[in-house]
Amino acid sequence: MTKIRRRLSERVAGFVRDWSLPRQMAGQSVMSEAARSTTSANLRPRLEEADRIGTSVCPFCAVGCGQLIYAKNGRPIHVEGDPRSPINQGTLCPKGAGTLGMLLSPERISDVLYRAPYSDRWEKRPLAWAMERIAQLTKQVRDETFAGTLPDGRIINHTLGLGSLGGATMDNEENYLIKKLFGGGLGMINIENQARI
Amino acid sequence: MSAAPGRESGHRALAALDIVLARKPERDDDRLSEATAELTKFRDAIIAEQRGGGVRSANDRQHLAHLNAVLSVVLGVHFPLGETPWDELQKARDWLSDLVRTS
Amino acid sequence: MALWDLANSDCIIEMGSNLAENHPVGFRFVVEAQRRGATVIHIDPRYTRTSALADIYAPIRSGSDIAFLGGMIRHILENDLWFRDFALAYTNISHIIEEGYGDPEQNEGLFSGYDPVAGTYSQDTWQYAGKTVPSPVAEHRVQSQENSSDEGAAFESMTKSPPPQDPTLQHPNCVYQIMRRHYARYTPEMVERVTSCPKDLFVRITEIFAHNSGREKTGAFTYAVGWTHHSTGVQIIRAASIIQGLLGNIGRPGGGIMALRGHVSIQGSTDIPTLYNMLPTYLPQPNVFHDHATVDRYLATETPPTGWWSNMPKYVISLLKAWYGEAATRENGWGYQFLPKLTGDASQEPMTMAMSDRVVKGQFILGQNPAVGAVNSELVERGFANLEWMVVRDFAMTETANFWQQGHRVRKGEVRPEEIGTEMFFLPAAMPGEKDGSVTNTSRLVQWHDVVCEPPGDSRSDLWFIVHLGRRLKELYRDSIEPKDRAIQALTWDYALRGEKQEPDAEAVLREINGRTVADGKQVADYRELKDDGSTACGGWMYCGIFPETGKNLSRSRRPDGPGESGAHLGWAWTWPLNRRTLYNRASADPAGKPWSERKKMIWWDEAQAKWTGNDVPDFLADKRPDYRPDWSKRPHGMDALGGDDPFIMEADGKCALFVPSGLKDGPLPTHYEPIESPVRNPLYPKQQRNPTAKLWGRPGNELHDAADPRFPYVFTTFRLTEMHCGGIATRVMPHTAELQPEAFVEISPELAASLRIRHLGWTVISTLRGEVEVRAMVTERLKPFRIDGREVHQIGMPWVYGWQGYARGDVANVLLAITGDANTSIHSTKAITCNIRPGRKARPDVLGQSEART
Repeated sequence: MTKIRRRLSERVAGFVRDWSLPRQMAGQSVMSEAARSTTSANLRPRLEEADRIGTSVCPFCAVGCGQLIYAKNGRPIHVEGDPRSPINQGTLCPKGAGTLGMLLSPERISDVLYRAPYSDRWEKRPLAWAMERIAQLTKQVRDETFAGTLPDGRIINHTLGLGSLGGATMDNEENYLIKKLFGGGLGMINIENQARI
Repeated sequence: MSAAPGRESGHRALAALDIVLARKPERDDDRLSEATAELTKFRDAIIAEQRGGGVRSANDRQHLAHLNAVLSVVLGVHFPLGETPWDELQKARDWLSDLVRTS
Repeated sequence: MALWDLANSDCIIEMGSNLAENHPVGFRFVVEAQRRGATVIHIDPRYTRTSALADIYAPIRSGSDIAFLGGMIRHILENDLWFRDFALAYTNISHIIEEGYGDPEQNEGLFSGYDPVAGTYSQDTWQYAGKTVPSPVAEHRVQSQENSSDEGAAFESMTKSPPPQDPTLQHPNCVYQIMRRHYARYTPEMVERVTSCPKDLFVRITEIFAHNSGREKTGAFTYAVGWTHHSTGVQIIRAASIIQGLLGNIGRPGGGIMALRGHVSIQGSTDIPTLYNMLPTYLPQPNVFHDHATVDRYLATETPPTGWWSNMPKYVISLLKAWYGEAATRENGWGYQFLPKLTGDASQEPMTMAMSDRVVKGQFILGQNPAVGAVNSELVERGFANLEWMVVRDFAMTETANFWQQGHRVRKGEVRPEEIGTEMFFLPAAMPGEKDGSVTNTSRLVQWHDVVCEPPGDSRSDLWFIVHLGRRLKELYRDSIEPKDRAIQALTWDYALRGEKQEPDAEAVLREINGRTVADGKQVADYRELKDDGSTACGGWMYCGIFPETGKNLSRSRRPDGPGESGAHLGWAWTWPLNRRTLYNRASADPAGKPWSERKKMIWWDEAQAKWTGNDVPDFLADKRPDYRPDWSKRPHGMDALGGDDPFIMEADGKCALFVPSGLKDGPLPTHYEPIESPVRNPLYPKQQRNPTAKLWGRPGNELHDAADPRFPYVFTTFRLTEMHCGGIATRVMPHTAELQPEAFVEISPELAASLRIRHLGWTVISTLRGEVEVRAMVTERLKPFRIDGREVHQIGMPWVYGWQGYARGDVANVLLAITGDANTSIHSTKAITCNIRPGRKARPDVLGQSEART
């Protein structure tokens, strides 16, 4: 009983000590000293745990807000606006502010999925197997659908049997190599992205 | 190659192109879609035979490449950049006619 | 203009754009301008948060923008509100057009040169008298078949003399007089009749904008896909550029037309294009039906003799050297024949139809979700089902990747997965933070992003995918002796791989884009150093200078201006070309080279140093004197043919084109046509309802509604939401954005709701000839009925961002839309179609037993 009573009195004392109102009335600022408590004294910023910080750009619209990504053990732990950026000065919109939720979404898929023709399901497959199969299929279709010249010998050197869609969500370097390989290497004409959407 | 697979489709594509060339429509014409669909059937029949281990002489490959070129011209007429290149379609049509005949 | 430069505007018109909701951080600069005293105006069919924060809101019916902007042009001209010193000096307002030019005002809505059988225009009568003017836009040059005649030689007319002009503006065929006649009927009364915006409000907006332009002030427009997604999309933007040219709002602080684009690097993927019709940085893809048989013919046909584009051969040959390396030699025309040649339009809409007709057998889908984002979803899905195989790269399951399992046709019971033969691959993609590279924002700012964390499992960057696919294909083709395989064999593909995952070095690719000398591999610092003799290799000339020396990647630069600096932030990342933040900034100074005003200075001529200087990098030859004049007796070419007071250096005559003699397929001046589907007849041109050159494909499943079809009486528009990003799955699998916008809806006015007995949050079915969707109603006063040509017209709107995947779900709005194309860009119409709406649910249940929306 004494023990319980002591615990209670400690709790009351603790409450009184942490209670902000008397300190505010005594003139302390609600924005700093008066906001301190035992709990807040033990709080540590989550960013402190980061072992790596990098500069990024918000992946959504074309405004190009700067972001800082904080990671720990190779996994992102926080994304925030880059305060240095003259575009966003540290701010982000609801989409940009949710970037961490996108990176860590439970809906994210990290396996290669394959669905055979006429199958009713996805199956997991190794990445290297998929890459080789895609390369073989690409070569096959290209070889079968390639047109070198028109009737009178004019060169066209292209295939309409292959198509590629996408690019506006990707980096310049990626776009450059897609056009280079698909257009300049394979002769694909059907190369498009969201620019017309 | 004896009677090429899909040759019937080739004939149907030719007939569709003849109609298109006769009326040179101002706008999109179902016959162009039809010609495209028949040409791809013709093409795919030849491809299917090749994949099945059919004869693959240099001549056959060239036959297929020419068919692909006809298809490219038909699409260029269906989805033209600027003026519709009717004269090109006429040439492609004649070429297709040769392809169907020699198939 | 840079985004932050909007803060320097004295008046901003937001039109075709819901800036506050869709580009919230870009909107900061509008708020900042307003704080500094600017007037902010929002013109839009829906009252949104952008409207709520504007000083003036004007409602207009979707698709009536050119009537409004044309009315502004008329009001500015008729009331002499234009900036005469600017427009006379820097635009083609005084240029004299061919005698044979005929205007839609004389010709029932058509310009001269129309071929009713072909549905296309010849541009001969739109030229400057006695000249043949090359378009500055390469993709427009290549799309004009006139080039097949000896057009390259005809362009030489530009080197003989300046275009004929009448500075007194009295000549009946000078651009000023043509514009006055063309827009004479775009009166405030007509504006009200076509757009439903009250005429007094229209006049007030025009006068405020005009009075906030001139020597001391500048105004800006902002737009997004609310302007582009129309059959007249290019001409809507053109109408704004005429206003800006007349008012002197181009190339100056706070002046311009700000395109607010929707994807992180959509600008980059346009510059360094994954597009069918261009090679990197706006070089035309060769076309077999044009005079492009050899590299010499291609260059002779496509290179304008005057203006900056006269340098094109250097850029083309340097690109071929970058792509084909040692295999590109003078003897083989620098490998030009390796490039595929076009036969027609292969943009997304024709590609979709080609898929449907089984032309395409294998399809790559890279970070795009056409099952949600592309118009006419069911036609798109039919195309997918006709493919042999499809590779989808994304980070979460998309509607595109599982169309065979849960697509519309499966839900309707039309087809079962066991009947769909498409072989499907889903490859998980690495996301930003998990890969490095550069992205280009909407104002050409190229910013690098770092690798900070590891992509999970088998997720890889798209760079990894393309490099390794290329390596495998090069290996498969290594021993081929067929001529068709020489291009892939010749392609330079030696990218260093790092680490366990063999990730390519993205900076090596950026260095290749930047360019280097062939002999010693030194980075080229400036595109003026590129050569047409094969001694330089450069993957994208406009990006040359971004990596000027080894170890110096300027897209990583992160030094913003501090207080007291100019605010151009020249040290923050890098902008093409050569870090110029405002294009055509020579126009910020008067013809003599002095700033138009102290308040609006940007660059100016420094006589002491004999060069241009100022707060931005001059977008001009740095040492070209303002008083330089071409010596026409010498047949000047290139920049020698442009005066020291001709700021628009990409144009063949250095002038801002109010009237466009070449390059636009639907006319030299913007003209109001009704949308492809409209509930009303065209009040301006009763005999010309639609844009006569719009691309229409009325195939089965893609039927269009006739004008004023009583079955489809309502205007329908689609839009985005602050919390939801485009058709991308990204924000629908992000927990808190999905929670904020959990479900699709249709926004309708209380008036329409009452007349149809639709209640707030009740179910509705919206239908067109393409399909129907089922969504709950949001009845809101943000939409008001319009009064068009004397009768009431209702408009409804629906977000297009939903699908059946992710946490936030709902019917796909694009089921309702048709495949159509703007004549110039092939962009589809999504902002103004017609539809019907009724209360209730769909008649046919979903065979998968699940509604797309939560019930």
